[in-house]
Amino acid sequence: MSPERRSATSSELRERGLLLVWQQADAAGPMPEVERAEFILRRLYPEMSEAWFVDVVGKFAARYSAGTWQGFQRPGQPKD
Amino acid sequence: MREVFDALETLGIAYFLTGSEAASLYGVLRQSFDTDIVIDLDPTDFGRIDRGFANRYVVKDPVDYGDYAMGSVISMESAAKVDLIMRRPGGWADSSMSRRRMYHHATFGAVWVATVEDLILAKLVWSEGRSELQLRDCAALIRLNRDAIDWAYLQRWAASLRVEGLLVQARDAT
Repeated sequence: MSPERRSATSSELRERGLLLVWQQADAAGPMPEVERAEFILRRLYPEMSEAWFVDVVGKFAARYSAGTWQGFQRPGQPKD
Repeated sequence: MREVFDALETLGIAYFLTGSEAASLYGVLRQSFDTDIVIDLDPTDFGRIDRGFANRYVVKDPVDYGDYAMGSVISMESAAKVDLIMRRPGGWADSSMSRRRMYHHATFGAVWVATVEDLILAKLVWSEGRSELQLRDCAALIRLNRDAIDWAYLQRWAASLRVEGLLVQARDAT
């Protein structure tokens, strides 16, 4: 397998994993955007510290409050 | 993700891809959601990253781990996280940056990537007393790239970084 093919496979694995995380978020039911962001980040990056999540989710919350971020884009969803 | 590399280039910050994305180019596939990039930047200048990425990324300030500092940028669109690793200048940090290679990544396009030797060294340093997985990756990288590896370089820096015992362990596991 060529290096390019291997990197493509790596990206495909990543995309499939992201889809699964979104499916979990959907299965968890409706939730506010910041809560959904935290749900997704915690599943994508479980190795990160609690302090990291507090800081990063706080930044997303601040952006949401300021109207400069509306939530993560669902995989496969066309850009606005 | 391509935009991360473009932004670093626009900011004039030298970089190379390392971690699982680099390992995939050398034959070791592992699903990981974050991307690790070593950048040639003093952590006190991390404000440049903030200014360069703030429009589309949430920027997490670096944490100092002694031999290196690490900050992150998280895409506001996709949730993709890129860890930006800043090694202490001199020695292996300079050597690994000077030896980086240009690769064509299927998703990222043309990007600078750690050599297989420097990737193995990074994983050995990272694995020390912490991660059996990283050590297994090293063994696989050695097995798959045995003929291409510059062993003199690998052994010299493994000794300097005090991971020569782990290197022997990884080599003998193949």
